[in-house]
Order: sequence, then C-alpha cells, then structure tokens
Amino acid sequence: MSSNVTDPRYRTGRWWRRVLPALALALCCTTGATALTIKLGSVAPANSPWDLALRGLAADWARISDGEIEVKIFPGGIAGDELDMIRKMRIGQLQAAAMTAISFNDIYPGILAIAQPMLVRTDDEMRYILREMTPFFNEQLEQRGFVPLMWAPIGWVKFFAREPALTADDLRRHKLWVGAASPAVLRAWQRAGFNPRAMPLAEVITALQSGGLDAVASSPSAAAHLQWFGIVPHMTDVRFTPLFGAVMISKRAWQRVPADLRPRLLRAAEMAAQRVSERAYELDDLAVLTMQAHGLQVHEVTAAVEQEFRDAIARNFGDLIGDEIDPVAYDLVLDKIAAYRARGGGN
Amino acid sequence: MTALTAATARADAVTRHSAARRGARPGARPGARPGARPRRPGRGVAIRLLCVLGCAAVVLAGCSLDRLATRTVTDLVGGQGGGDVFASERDPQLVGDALPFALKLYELLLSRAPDDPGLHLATGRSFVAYANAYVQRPAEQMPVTEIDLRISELQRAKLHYVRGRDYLLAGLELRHPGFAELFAEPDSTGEALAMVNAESIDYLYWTAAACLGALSTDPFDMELAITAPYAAKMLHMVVDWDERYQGGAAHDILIRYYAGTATLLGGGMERAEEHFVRAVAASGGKRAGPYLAMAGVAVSRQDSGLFRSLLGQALAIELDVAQYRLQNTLDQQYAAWLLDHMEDLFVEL
Repeated sequence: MSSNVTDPRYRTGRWWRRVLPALALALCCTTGATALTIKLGSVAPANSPWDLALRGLAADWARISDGEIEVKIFPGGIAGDELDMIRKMRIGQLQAAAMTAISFNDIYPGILAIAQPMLVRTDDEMRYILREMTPFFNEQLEQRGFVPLMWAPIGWVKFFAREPALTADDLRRHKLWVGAASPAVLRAWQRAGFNPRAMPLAEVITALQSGGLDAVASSPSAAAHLQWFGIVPHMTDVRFTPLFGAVMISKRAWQRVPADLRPRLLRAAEMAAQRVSERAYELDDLAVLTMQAHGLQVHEVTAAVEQEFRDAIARNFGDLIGDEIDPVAYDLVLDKIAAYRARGGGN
Repeated sequence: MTALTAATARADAVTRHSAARRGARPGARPGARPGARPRRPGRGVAIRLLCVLGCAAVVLAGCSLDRLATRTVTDLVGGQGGGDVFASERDPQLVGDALPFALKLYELLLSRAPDDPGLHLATGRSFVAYANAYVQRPAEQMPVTEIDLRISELQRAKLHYVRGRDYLLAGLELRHPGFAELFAEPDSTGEALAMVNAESIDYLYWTAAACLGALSTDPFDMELAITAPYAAKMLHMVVDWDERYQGGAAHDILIRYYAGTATLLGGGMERAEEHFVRAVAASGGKRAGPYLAMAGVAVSRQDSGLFRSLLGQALAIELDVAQYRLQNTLDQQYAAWLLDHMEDLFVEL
C-alpha cells in the first residue's frame, strides 16, 4: 500500500484517471447482474405449497432471463392484505402480487361473474370457463394497468355448520359467515332467507367460539388449517362457489421486461399455475380426509337439495349483476356455460 | 468488520486463550486433548495387549457387560451432561458435523434400551435441534435459484422434526403410561396433557418445539396444523411451571406462534410482544433467541428500524454463558445473515 502512495503517478493526481473508469466498469458489472427486480407479494404462508410454487416461478424466470430478472417473494401478507397489495402495485411499491379472484374484482368488477354462487357446477366446467374467459379478463385488467401472468382454479367453497345442514332451510337456521361481503351481497343473502354475517377472517374463530357464528362458507383447506371444523363439524358437500386465483404484474413493470423473453416467462407461469391448481385440489381432498379422521361429518346432498340451493341463490343474487358485477362479463360467462353444456359438458 | 466476524473472532480469541492457559504440550498429537503426553515407542504393544484382554473380558462377561456399557452410555447421553457438551460448544460446525453420528448412536442405544425415557428425550431433542439449526435454517437461506434443494431440505427438516416428536411422545408414554392413547384422540388430548407433571417439563418443551417446527416447514400439513394448539398449550404449561425454563426458550416459540398463523386462531401481535418481554426477562438478556423471534414480528409489521435494533441487540450478546453458547452463536450467525438480506424481507427500504 505504501509503495502506491510514493508512486509519482499517484502523487501527481493522475491516478484517478486510471482508477475511475475501472471503478465505473466494476459498478456497471455489479448493478447489471440484475436488470429488473420484481417484488411479488402474497398472503400465502412461507414454505406453503403456494409460496414454494411462487419461488419456483422466480427460479424459472431467473433461469430464462439469465439472471436479468429477479423476483423477490414477500410471503405471509408482509406486503399487506390483497387490497393493500393492489394499492402498492398502483403506486409502484410492489410490482406483482398473487391473490384470489375476490380481490381482483376491486380492479375490474367483472371477475366475480365466474364465481357467482351455484352458477358453475363442476371442476371441468370451471376450467373450461376460466380458460375461455381469460382473454377477456386479461384485456379488462390490462386496460386498468395490470397484466395477469397466470390464472388457476383452486377448489370450491362449501358450508361448515355447527348442526347438520342437509337442506337450504337447515342452513338458514345458522348464523353464516360469508366473508368480508359488501352490503349488497349481504342483502342478497338476506333476500334468500339466510342469516349472513360479514367480518374479517381474523375475527372468525372468536365469533365461532362465542356463538356469534355457527356456520362458515369456506374451502376445506381453510376450515382445517384455521381449526374451524372443530366448532362447525358438519360439512355440506355442495359446490357453492368456485375459488380461483391469479398472479398479476403491473403493466409498468411488465413493459420493462424484454419483449423477446415475455412468451417464455408466460409459459413458465402457466406451468406454475397448473402445479398450483393440482396441489390445491389435492390439499382440499387431504383436508377433508384429515378432518374426517378428527370428527368431521360430510353430508352429501341430493340433486333435489342442490337444485333448492340453486333456486334460492339464483333468484336473489341476480340483482348484483350491474351493481356489483359487470353485466358484459356476466353475459359472456353465461354464453360460455351454455356452449359448454350444449357440447355435452357439465353435470 | 461485521458483527458476525467480530463474534467469530472473539470466539477464536477465547479458544486460543483457553488453549494457551491450559498449556498444550509441544509435540502433542493432532487432535489430542491439551496436556496429553506425546506418543512413546512401544506404547502400541501395551494398547494391543489391553485390547486383547478387553475382548476376552467381553466374551467372558457376555451380555451383562453389553448391558452395562449400554447403560453407561445411555446415562451419559440421556442425562443433562450429554446436552451440555453440545450446548456449550463454541464451534457450531463441529456440532453440525457430529450430530448425524450422534443421532444414529442414540437410535442404536434406543434399540438396546427401548424402555429408557431419558434416552428417548435425548434422541428426540437432538433430532429437533438438528432439524432446526442444521437443516431448516440453511434451507431458508438458500438463494431462489436453489428452489429444488430448498424444497428437499425442508422435507428433510420435517422428517427429522416428526421423528424427534415421535421419540419424545414415546418417552412421555414411558413416564405416564396411557398418555399416547389419549393424546392420539383429539377429544382426549387435554386429558393426556393433564397426566403430565412438571417433572416431564423437558419432554413437553421439546415435543412442542417438534410439532411447531414441523408445521413451519409445511404450514398446510393438516395433521400438523391440527396439533398446533396442543403444542401451544404444552408451551404454556412449561412457562407456568417454570417461567425461566431454558432461559425462557418456550417464550421464543410462543412469540413465533402468536405472530404467525395463530393470528387467525385467536392469537396476535400483542401476545407475541408479551412473550418477548417475558423471554428477555427470563434470560436476563443473555440469549439472542428472543430478539431473533421478535425480529420476525418486525418483518410482519414491515418495521425495518425495529428489525435492525432487535438484531443489533442479538449480535451484542456476549458468548460467556456456557449453556447458551452454541445457540447464541448460531443465532448471531443468522442475525448477521438477516441484516445482510433485509431487501428480501422489507418491501420498502
């Protein structure tokens, strides 16, 4: 070190002319290693199948882009709940988020057309309708500044009740949690003769314990994971409404992704969606088996009872179309369902 | 110099100082204990003779000697002393390298002494400690490009947690006959726990650590999720019996429990904070664990200032308390890693 100081080149001040370009080059190499960082938020717990699937997608994107794109996953809701994440994407704090369809409706009030209660009937029908609706939904979301990277059906909402709910009337006797529903949705439930309660997820267990609730509309995985089934141990096995999720990126961030990479990145996302969907259905099946081993009773419903639920719902939830759900999307969904069933699908 | 390198350098200096103080003899064999005499010519003959005599004694004594040897080693590893040898170690890598052998040794001993609850405890807690410190934590530090390895290592961690849990439950059954059957049925789990008294505190602590550790590697494992509230109940029993148990280590787990998915199970950040205060008080501020657990709460709140402050306090802890030395060293390494990776934990920095 000391020899450098005594070197005439350093003493005359010319040394910086040699050092600075090298330093600049080194900095370029360092910062250029990752040209684009995408912060992706998710409410899925760390190490859960959804979290690992997102990390797998991040690894795929790093490989496809030769390290040019780094996706940082923020799991477990540390980037906020789903509506917080949408807000953060709008102001650029987050670039992407994985979320459920309910939150997407906040961006475009047409996504939930596909999840109207008792409208879509089977897994195959759900996959078909979602696939058919994807171009329309993508266009609507893109117009609003968001680019969906993947869509995935992830199961069904069913009813878990304190007492057996073998008919719609049985369920009407329960105080039923219907999520953080809007006043319009609550009114629809009430018109259908049910006794709905809306509250945040975190308050459900306390309400179940205190008697403020005695039934929940939930996926089997959630009922098991959140320990609800111990209090509401009767599952009505009716496919009430399909659940699906998606990963979105802000249009601003997507435009920074090199255009030639986008098709391969989207293909990787589609593969991840398929894995997520398969795993979600497996987990729901496993959840039911596990809960049954711990006291859950599963009540199959007859076709007549299913039709009774459908009639009660269809009559009363129709008013939401227009107020809460874009009628264009709803009509399109009805057309797709009709086409699917005309081909012999469904049931 | 980072705090981690400072801590490591401090540990190295202490090691050198201790060796010098004990006066290692010049010419001592590599790996020989300090103070050992150099090997002398002709000594090998004596050793071989002793071996022959030893073998003959084994043949003559037969199974009784075998049982005696098993009993002796079992007492060594099953007693508190076995754990202290690991807990006070300054070199985490040495422990990490030794643990797999120790785990298999414990299992070998268990095959000879299956009715020894202490050996079940030693085996169970070693599996849990190994899964946590040497499998899960490194897996969670892997870069995103190593996702396949991360997944397989998390599966390994879960395997070892569950294995540890099963040994511990078997130990509880030996100490409290009938426990296992009651514990297996959800309706009677509370009844099973009511059978356990404070003398089984170690078993409860490590069983709870095993259950919740396994769940953290796979939060959607429904069987594990269902046991989580019982695990929390065990930890509450531990702190009710002994608030200062292992310097408040049960509080560390409760911090994570209430700050994690338990928020949706009626827990919450306030309870996490309460256990943090109690953990620090119980350890007299001598363990890094509470600060590290609370740093997880800071991540949930996206409070980077609190995060830095907590990890700074974790790194400032001296490694002078022998019983916490290994865990503190591991925790300080992890704290330094977390500080270096804050951009992966905080959306806005």
